[in-house]
Amino acid sequence: MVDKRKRKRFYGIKRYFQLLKIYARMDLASLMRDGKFMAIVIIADIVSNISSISGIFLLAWKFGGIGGMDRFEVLFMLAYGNIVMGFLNMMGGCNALFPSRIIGRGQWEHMFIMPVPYAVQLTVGIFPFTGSSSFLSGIGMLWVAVCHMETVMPWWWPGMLILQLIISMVIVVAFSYMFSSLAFYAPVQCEEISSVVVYSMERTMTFPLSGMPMYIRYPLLTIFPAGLMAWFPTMILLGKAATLEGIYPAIFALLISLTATYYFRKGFRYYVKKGINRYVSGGHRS
Amino acid sequence: MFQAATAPEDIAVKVESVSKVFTQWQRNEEKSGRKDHSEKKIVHLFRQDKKTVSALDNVSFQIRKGEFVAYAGPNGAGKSTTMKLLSGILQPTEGTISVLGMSPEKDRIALMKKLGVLFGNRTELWWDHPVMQSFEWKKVVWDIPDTLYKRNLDMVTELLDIGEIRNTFARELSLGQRMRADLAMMLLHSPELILLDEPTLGLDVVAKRQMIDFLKKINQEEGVTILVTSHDMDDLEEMARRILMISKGKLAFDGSFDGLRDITGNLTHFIVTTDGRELQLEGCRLLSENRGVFEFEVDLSGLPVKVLLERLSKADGIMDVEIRKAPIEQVIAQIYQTWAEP
Repeated sequence: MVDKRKRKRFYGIKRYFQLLKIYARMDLASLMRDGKFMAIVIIADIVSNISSISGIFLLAWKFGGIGGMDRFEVLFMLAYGNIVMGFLNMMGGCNALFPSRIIGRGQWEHMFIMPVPYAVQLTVGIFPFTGSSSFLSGIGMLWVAVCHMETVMPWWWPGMLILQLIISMVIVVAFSYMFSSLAFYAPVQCEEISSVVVYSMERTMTFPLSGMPMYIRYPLLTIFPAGLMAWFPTMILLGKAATLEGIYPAIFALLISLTATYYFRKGFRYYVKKGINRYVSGGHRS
Repeated sequence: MFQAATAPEDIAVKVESVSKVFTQWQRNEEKSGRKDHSEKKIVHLFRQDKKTVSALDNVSFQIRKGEFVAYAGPNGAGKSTTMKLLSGILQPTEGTISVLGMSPEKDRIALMKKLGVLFGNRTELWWDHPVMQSFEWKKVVWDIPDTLYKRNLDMVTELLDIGEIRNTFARELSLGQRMRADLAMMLLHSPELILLDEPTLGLDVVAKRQMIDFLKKINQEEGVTILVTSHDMDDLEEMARRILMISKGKLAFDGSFDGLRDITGNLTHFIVTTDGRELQLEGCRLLSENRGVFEFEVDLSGLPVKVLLERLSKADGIMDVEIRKAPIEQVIAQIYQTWAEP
């Protein structure tokens, strides 16, 4: 019995990696379709990533830091945010990061006819070649920032970094899924709701919140948690947050993912039960 | 309307008392009876009426394994809703559905390994990849064993003549080529039952012929059960032996195409060629006349053939007579018209 369960689990893991591999291969194939296209995609992505954070970094450079964070601490924060969004963009191929688009465009129905669990379908759409520039540039920037910082990192620090990154990613995904659950009720109207939420958080996360008044900082750590995507984890990783504060992002991630799961499942049940096609005024685009 | 008793293992599809209800919001500005009353208008903007639409109403039918069944009905009758219910995309409001002995809702993953679904207005092909890449993707996602994949790939390549388009990008295919590639991809995992929603939509005569021949072949030789919807009744009659007709969400007919003709009273068309003389036949409706060629419609249940032939023999100047069954399109149109009447 135990053996059978183990074999089943191993088969599941093997299948998961097979699916990741086919999506990665398809991504490489589309990138290699023509050399010029490949170069344009890579250069455009690098330029876009650098320009998205350059404003804040130049301000930090000019004034020797922002709100109690020095230049390289600001760079660390920007790099952290880039890694979070870069990894999600890389893994969120086929709009897995923006499920409201899948629902609004009527593509959710394609998922029904595949003999693979929904959760697996939403996590295997990896784009490691066309979607990795933000992730890789984030790692490069993080390396530069860490090399220039005076703080000595303890041996467990890399583990803590990975844990905080995972927590930040869980928060972004949970927020996206929580809002996407509205698309089950009004697919056309809510098609872009997840991208609006995620991109708004992405734009806001680059602002260091150190020194900001409480009425700005607290909302950005609770109802619109852009502060948990880069700034607050940076404070934890640089030892600038109290020990108890350090567990707040994990608790928040747990609560928000439970809430998102509840609402997404509820919306999904409504979708299959009440129908989403042309009979409903807000049915998906055909 | 049920077929004769069939062993449960021989049933591919079992639909029992299935209803599917949708709710629509409707803005009713006439309701107050005072259209110019702006206050009422504003109230109705915020308080819209709910309307219940019954896409399927207590529908029951069975399809045996190996059958080729046509599923027809006017626009909005509930055909696509049925297809979506059978493939688990929607769940019924009431009633139960069993496909290949499984529940589309509870056994989705196991069922999808045995089911093929094709919606004519959608493609499952990867748009920015060659067709072959989509096939390889399907092999991995459906976990198709190597030998089965190879066997099926060879079969569909030959029968659907897709050898030349296998390496073409999906977005560069014509509609006919895309449909063939989609059909080929759907068959790679050897589905036992296939659901086709308007598979001949927009196809030219050659592409349509290829599609029909292929579907008949896999039904006869491989024993694949097929349920197909189409608005092209001639196509359906050529493919299927049984037709299920749905109207306003209710199953209105379940039987053969000849049985369907009987409903409309055995309508028959005949063409009479004269030497140029005018022709009038009692009990027959003149449909067209062109230089001595007259096309009539007659209901043979009201006017026996013998009587018709007697009348024709008494007419002067007749050079040729050709009798044929009324086109199924016309039979269906007449039925739809009857259904549409209040």
